[in-house]
Amino acid sequence: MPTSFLNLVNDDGSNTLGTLIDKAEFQALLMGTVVAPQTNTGAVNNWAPGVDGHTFTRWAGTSDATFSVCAGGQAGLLHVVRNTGTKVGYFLHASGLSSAANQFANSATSGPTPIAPGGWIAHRHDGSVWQLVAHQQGALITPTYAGGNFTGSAGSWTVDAGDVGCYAYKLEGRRLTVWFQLATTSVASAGAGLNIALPAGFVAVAGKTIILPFFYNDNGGVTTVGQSQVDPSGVIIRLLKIGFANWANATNTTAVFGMVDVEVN
Amino acid sequence: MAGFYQTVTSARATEPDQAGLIAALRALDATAGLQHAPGPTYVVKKATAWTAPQITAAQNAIDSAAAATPQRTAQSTIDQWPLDLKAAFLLVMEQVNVLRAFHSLPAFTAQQFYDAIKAKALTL
Repeated sequence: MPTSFLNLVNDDGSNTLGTLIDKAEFQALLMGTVVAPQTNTGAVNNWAPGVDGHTFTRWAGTSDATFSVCAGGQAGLLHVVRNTGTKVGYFLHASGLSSAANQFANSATSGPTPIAPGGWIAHRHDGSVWQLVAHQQGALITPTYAGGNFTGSAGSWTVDAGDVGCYAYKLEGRRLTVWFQLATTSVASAGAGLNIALPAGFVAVAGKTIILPFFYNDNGGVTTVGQSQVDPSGVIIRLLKIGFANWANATNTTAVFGMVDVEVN
Repeated sequence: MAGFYQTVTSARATEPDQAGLIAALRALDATAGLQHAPGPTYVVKKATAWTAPQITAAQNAIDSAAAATPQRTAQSTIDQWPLDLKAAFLLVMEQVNVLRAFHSLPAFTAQQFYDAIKAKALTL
C-alpha cells in the first residue's frame, strides 16, 4: 500500500519523507473547516474567526456587526459566512478600518454588503484581498428609524416612527431594491417632492435610474399613482405627483406606498 | 409631529369609503389620520393621547363607515381632478353659463358645477 504524505506541508517531493497525513488532515483538505459559531457584535476589525483552509463560519451575533477584514486569507481559499442568527452582519468594501491585507472586495462599493437572517456571503481570496463570489442577503433589512431619512424638497415632511409600515431594502449584486409604506405622515409646504433616503449610505449610479410608479394618498385623498425616481444626487428617492404638483399640506393624512429598484455604486 | 396610535379591529364585512371614514375620524379629532390596508386592522393616529371614549368613538366610526363603492370613490376622485380635466369642465361650464344668461338664469359657480357632477356620480 503506497504511503501518503502531507506534501503540502513538509514532503520534499520524494514521497518518502515528511509527516504522514492523517484522516483529520484529509478531511480538512477535502471538506474544509467548520469553525465554531461566531457571535461578534459592533465594529469588528481584523476579524479572525479561525479561517483554516476552505472555511464555513456561522455567525449569530446578539446585535448587528460590521466586519471590515477577515484574517487568515491565502490565495484560493474560500470563506463562506452564513447568518444563523436574528441580527444583521455588514461586510465593508475595501475598508481602512483594518489592515490592508484581507480586506473585502465586494460588488457594491458605496455601502456594506449585508447578510440578514438566513443570508450568506462567500469570498475567495486572491492573494491580497477577499473577492466576493456569492451573496444572498436573506431577509429584508429595515434600517433603524431616523426622521431625517424623510424630507420634503422644501418645507417639511414628517414621518414618525409609527408611520413606517415598511422601509426596507435588499441588495443583490449592485441592484438595490427599496420598499416603502408610509402612512399617517404630515406635510407642510413640502413642494413637489417627498424624499426618502437610500438606506445604508448607498449611492445610485448616475444616469441609470428609472422612473417607477408608486401609490399615494395626498392629504387623505383617493389612492393615486405617482412617479418615483432617484434624485441626481444619487442618495434620495424622490416621490412626485403626476404633473409635478405640490403636495398638499396634511396632518397625519398623507401616505405613500411603493418600491424602487436602482443600480448602486 | 409626534403621534399617538390606536389599533382598532373591526368585524365589518366591507371595506370602508376611505374619504368618508377619514372625515368621520377627523370630526372626532382634527389631527386624526388612518393607516389601513384591506383587512380587519385599522391604526388611527392623532396628536394627543387616546382616552377610552375616543377609542370607542373611533371604533364606532370605523364599524359604521359607509362601504367603498365605485360611486363614492368617483366623488373623491372628482375632488382631486387634475388640471386638464378641470380645464375641460370649466370651459363647458362657461359655455353653459352663456346659454343660461340668454334665458336669464343665474350662472353656475365652479363649486356648484363640481358638486353637481359629484351628485351625478353618486346616481350612476
